[in-house]
Amino acid sequence: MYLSKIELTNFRIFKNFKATFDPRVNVIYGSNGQGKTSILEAIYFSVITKSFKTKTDQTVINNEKDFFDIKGYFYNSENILSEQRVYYSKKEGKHAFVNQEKIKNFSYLVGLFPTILLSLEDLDLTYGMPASRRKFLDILLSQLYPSYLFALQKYKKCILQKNKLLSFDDYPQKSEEIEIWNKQLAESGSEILFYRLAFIRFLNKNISTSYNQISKKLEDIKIKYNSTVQDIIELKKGEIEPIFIEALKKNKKNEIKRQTSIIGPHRDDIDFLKDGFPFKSHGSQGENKSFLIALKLLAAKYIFDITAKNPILLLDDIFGELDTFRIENLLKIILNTGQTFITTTDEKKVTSIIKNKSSFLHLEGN
Amino acid sequence: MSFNIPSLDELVTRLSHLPGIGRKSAQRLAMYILKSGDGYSDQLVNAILSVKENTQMCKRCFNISENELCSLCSDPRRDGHKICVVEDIVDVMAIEGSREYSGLYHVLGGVISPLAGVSVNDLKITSLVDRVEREDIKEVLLALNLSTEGEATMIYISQLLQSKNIEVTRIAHGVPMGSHLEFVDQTTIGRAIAGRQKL
Repeated sequence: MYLSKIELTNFRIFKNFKATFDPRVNVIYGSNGQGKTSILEAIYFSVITKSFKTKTDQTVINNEKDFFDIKGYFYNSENILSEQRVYYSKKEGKHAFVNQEKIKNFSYLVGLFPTILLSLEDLDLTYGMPASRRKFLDILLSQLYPSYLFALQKYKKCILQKNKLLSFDDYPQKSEEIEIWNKQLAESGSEILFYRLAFIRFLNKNISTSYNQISKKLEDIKIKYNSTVQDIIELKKGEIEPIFIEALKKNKKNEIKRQTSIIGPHRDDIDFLKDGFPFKSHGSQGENKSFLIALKLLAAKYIFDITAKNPILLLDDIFGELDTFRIENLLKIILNTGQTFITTTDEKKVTSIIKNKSSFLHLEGN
Repeated sequence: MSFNIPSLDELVTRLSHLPGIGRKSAQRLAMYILKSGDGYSDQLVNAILSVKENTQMCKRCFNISENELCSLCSDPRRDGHKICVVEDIVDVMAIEGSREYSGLYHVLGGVISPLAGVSVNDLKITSLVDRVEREDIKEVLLALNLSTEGEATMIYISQLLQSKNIEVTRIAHGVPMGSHLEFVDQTTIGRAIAGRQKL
């Protein structure tokens, strides 16, 4: 599975841009402001239908234009070519097409070509708010399981409805009506928890080894899922829902008092621990970065284990703070996984490992 | 863009308030009305006035009707032991079109949605419970749309009717007729498999 060609119209600084890619490793290099990250953003757009840089699609349109168009040509694991197109204009909104056929529901597109992104923004995973850690799980698992994405969409909708209900003052049926949302929340929420917990168990089995491969340091790394429902990490599929319902019941008064939903996967968090202490406070910047790389490579491995497809890896400018030793370790691992896109201002950092000429794309003069 | 003719612009504005009609379509419709002969505009106006004057909600099921009771409620051939609960009048027409159902209806007039400001009290739910108690009802079939709000409403009604010693059912969900499995989304297929039937 790989991306063979991309065509961009009015996307960021590119008015008209075409590039073909190597099925293995692609190093996109050039000085600042040449559009290296924008190419990764466009690839991400063509598989997830969203940007990783901005929430508003309009921002990525080239100045003074009123639409953008991305066409990605992918070969799937059976070597069949597929054209993924995302089009957006201020007037017509966003539309997605697979092989010229319009896709009504974008969730159909998500997961066709699983993709893992690692960028500087990912430092939010260790340093930032819980929401960014939940987002990491949600994007990964939505690409893997359509039923996860469905449950997530349903769950979020129910939370909006329930929170609105909780916000009403002096509404006599409040307590009674909460039940009808809780029932659906427990159902879809348990589905979300089930898939999240399976992934966390996989991480815990492999994360220390994976970290060690990057940094050649033996550390004891643990990943702890902090659920607002209860300590549920070892539960099986059918066992989560009754506990969820129980937790919602127990906290109903509290939720009414605080006028918001406080129980469920939308409030859960993950701790990343090194020798029992959070990476955030006890790891150096380099160690944090090595950890993030290990985490993302494991996410890629998880996709491979489940789908037998190697996901596309997008590595955006991640070599800062990494010494030559770590960079070389990383590149050696990457050479044994799926198609990878690397952006850097200094291509010399990789030339000791990556020698194939077709792997290099130089951007200049934009 | 406007015609700068107040009466024509007024018509375009009114027409563009209709659902599914944008400014462009409204202009086209207005031009059609303007050019039409043979009293078409009178007929149109009369039809609009008449539908407002002559129709009302059926007292029993809240379907649209020209009399106190709608044609379905007053039809003696319908099975009076069954009530099919729907969101809106158009759903009655959709189910009637299938000719699979011969019982009575109950139109809720919406679904529970705190975000849209629709609560239990805004819907015809109390009157549904009344009917179940007063009429000789054996089955209530919930045929609401499968949105989160529709499901929430079904959960609410089924809890209300739990103690009433009647059968409460809901319509099945699955693969649409005539469709190819490969083009059906995975969620629908998942549900269809979960709700599979013995042959």
